[in-house]
Amino acid sequence: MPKIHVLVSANLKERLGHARFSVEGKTALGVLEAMAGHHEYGSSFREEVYTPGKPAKPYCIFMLNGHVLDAKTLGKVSVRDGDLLHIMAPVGGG
Amino acid sequence: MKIRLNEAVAQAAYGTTLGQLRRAKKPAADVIIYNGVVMRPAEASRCVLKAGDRVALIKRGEKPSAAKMRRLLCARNTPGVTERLRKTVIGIAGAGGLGSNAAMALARSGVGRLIVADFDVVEPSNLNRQVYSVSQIGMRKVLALKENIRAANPYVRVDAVKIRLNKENAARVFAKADILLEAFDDRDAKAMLAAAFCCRFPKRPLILASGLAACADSNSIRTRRLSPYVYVVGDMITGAAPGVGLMAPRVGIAACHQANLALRLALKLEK
Repeated sequence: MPKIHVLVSANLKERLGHARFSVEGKTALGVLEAMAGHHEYGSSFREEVYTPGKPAKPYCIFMLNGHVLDAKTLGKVSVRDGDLLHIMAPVGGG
Repeated sequence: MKIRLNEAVAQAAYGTTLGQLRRAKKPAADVIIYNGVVMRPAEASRCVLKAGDRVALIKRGEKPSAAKMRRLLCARNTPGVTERLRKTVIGIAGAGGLGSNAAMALARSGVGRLIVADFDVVEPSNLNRQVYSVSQIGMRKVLALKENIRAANPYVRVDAVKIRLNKENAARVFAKADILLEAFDDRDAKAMLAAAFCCRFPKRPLILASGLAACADSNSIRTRRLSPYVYVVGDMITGAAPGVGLMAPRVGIAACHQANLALRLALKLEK
């Protein structure tokens, strides 16, 4: 199973406790599922980013190796060892 | 030798000083701009012109002709940038606090064309941070913004698009934009725009904003590069929420970060 790096935005770091994670998964969605099931931060992750079986939170931006992904196709995006998945949850205001 | 006088090509003899040029061309000028910098008359008399110099001679209070106005509006810009900015098309998604302030900064800088999209109308609670006036309450924001830009720099083309942007139309609306500024209030809309624009135009810069609410530290607002074509401005944390409002200074700071980055990208100053 490929192991990738996951980097989250500062506001997510406050909720999840870390900015960087090392996670296994075959697809981008698989990585999110693994994070959602994590014993330490999984509960916050499900609240803030993704709950298995549901669409990702509509405010989340996912970037794999710098390319913005369509949140609806995360299950079709394969990942490879060493990839970087950036999860950004912008805060409101403008 | 060739110089530019009020942005038009002019001839000056070698050894001519700025003061001599002023006396010859516009003795009444009391604003002397030399390569983007205002010079005092005493400095001007010592300043020997070089080929390629750019000089603007302006008489305070005098309204230039329409032909000269365009050239003089950007006389304080760094020499050479105005021509490049005139060819640039910048999209702005949202004409609220971020969008209206960024648009004005870009228009004053001389960007050639702005595509601004928003569905909303001006209402009183906008006026604490958005570049509108009481008399514009009830107007479509994009039309009010176009009016305000026209008053500041009538030579900027503004495409005012009255539309509620969504994932189906966002890429089409901004198809001509070289650079796109995300200027929404709503966080879901920010993410929608990122996916819609970047999936369609993965090599065009997108400048997001996140974290500019309240009266937090001004210096916590930063510009970060998330990937080769995606940037985010803000402190990433301070969102608008019950008890945390949006105030003119930080919204304006973030908007000007976005505008400045857009200029840097247009001028290829970002690597």
